[in-house]
Amino acid sequence: MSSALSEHNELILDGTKIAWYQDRVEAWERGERIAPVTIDMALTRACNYACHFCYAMLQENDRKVITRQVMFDFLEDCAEIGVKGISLVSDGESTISPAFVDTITRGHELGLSMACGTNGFVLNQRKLEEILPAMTYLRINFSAGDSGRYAEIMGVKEHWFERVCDNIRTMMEIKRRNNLSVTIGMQMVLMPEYADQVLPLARLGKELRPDYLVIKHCSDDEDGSLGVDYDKYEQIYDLLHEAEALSDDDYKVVVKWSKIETGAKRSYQRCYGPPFMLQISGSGLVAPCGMLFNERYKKFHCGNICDERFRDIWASDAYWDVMNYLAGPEFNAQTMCGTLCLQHKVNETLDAHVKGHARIATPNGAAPQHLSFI
Amino acid sequence: MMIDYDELASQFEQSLLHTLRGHAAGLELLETWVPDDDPVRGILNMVEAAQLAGQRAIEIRVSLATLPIDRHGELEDVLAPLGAVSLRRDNGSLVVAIGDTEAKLDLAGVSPDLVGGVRRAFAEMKREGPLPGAGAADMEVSAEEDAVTLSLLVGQAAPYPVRAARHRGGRDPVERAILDAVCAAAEDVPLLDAADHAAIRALHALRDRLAARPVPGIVQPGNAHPALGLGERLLRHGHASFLSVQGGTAERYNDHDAPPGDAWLELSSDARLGRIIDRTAKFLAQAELGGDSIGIEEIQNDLHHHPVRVMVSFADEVEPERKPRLMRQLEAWLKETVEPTLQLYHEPQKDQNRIRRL
Repeated sequence: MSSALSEHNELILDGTKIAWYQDRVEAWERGERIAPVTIDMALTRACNYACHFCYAMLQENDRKVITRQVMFDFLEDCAEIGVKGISLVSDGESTISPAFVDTITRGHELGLSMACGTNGFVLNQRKLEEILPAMTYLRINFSAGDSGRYAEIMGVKEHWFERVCDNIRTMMEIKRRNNLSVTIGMQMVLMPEYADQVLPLARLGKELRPDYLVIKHCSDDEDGSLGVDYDKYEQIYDLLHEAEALSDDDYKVVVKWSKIETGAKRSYQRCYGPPFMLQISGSGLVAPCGMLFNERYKKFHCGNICDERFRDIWASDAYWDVMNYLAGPEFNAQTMCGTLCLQHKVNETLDAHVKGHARIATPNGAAPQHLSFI
Repeated sequence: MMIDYDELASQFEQSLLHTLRGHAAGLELLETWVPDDDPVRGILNMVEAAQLAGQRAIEIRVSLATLPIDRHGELEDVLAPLGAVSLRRDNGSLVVAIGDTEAKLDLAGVSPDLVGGVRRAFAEMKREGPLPGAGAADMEVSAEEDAVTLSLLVGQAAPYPVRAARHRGGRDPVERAILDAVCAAAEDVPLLDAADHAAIRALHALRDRLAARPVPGIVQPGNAHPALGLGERLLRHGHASFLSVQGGTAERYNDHDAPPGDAWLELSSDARLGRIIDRTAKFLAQAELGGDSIGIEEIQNDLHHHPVRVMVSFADEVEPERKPRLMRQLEAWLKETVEPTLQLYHEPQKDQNRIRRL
């Protein structure tokens, strides 16, 4: 973890917070059915960007339309069964869904922590005034520090760069004016070939002043379809340290070192994470994780929230059959799924717990921020 | 030991015709045995004869032609008073195992999905007791908990294969049977893999897939039965003990992945495909689905370049909501009847977002 965030009551951007859910871990160990702490989903698989690094290219499945009513039912079910946080990231640009604003506000009303990862392009002032008070975090995907490379990497017109920068300034202005608790960050998905943009982006962030810039690895599938060369990350470690050194009291540059240094290897074979941290496609498909959205992995598909209530899917034998399959000896996470998934840190922690290497115990002291997002 | 009932019964009948003196069944332990026109009684006679001769455990193979499936339950009932009975089908035959005739299994604390597997493990138990002799390059490692001991014979060169695993001190027949299954799963794999995964493999070998799981959530050795949790802890302590003797630090990276069997790898690609298509047809017939409901498209290599990824497609008339479960069921069927490492995948779908690069 970055030295800028050494206390666990600050933001944990490179790790997992599952240790603060010891009750749920113990229930899971006893063989009880537990609700996910966090669900990551999208409101659509559509996107107005064409990012070079986007894993969504590998996640196609039979699409259905997630309507406002579908989302309201889903959020109610989540609140009922004990889900804590909903992040709108997954495999599409949720802000272009007509249901986006209402989803955020309704989720907040129900007591759920709401968050979003977005390209930020359509988030005008009016929408931001409405959603920011209801959000735990808003994270802007931004993988370049100059407009030309931004257009190239993010697959858009060059002038979109300045629009998004303006939107980030607006976000921070609204946050300060209203003294909001929402965390606003920028995220760089880094493929080694974007190394030239690390420092320009870190400097741009220092100018725009979000709460943080996080620089993360790029995930790839088990066959390497996106072409990520994990061996090349080591060549840019110095650049990444230099970027982190641009942090100051109010702006943190955080590199997800644990994943960048891990590379393509998993230390575990059993996949224990999805019951705690589930993913749903912008098609409405409920699958254990985003690595398994594509029709290719149909044997892992549990249902679709456009067709049936989420609480029924969660309670179904099909859902628990799939979760047991992943936790059983017929599934090998080292060879059957992609790299460095969303659940990776949760998986590592649970695997070490099950093997007795590092038993999970609730840490002393105050809980970290964003506890609903493990 | 395995006895072929049909062969011995035939020999007995022949010798009745052709041997005037010294007529006997082919084995000393069956010298008091007389077959019967009723094969259930004939097998009962065989087991009683073996017990009289002091044989504790016996396995008898009988063809399904001699003893049809509808009489297997009757056979099990007849033999139950004589000891722990397990029946399994194997290539057109029934194998009957009667083990440890001195002890009876109390299955009261065993979940229904494990009962058959525990019975089978008890009847076939062969890893109780001391380790076999160690080779010059082997090391003996033991772990104990509550007077139950698990011992391993481990090769001293990486990846430190477990050559043999034995258990002693099990407190009841069920615990002994389960520890035997854990020992079986720990053999012929690297020690680290045995510590990490042998218990869960044993659990899955013991379980009846079609029966309800012992817990509503995630089944793990520790919550399936205490003996599985015990076996898991003993293996991990054994691994730790091995490391402390070797002087090494704990090696945590385990990427052991059992390869397909030689028989599978030696087949031609056409033969592999043909075998899967044939078995899939049987699955579909048993599931009362049309013969073209699931198509086998091709077999692809996995990351180890093993031909184990089976690509399937569905006919239009198969309801979408049935497909995931059908895939899992077919995969389980193919693993059981063709090759345990097979994995099923559906035809992938390409990204519909035309502006993206792939």
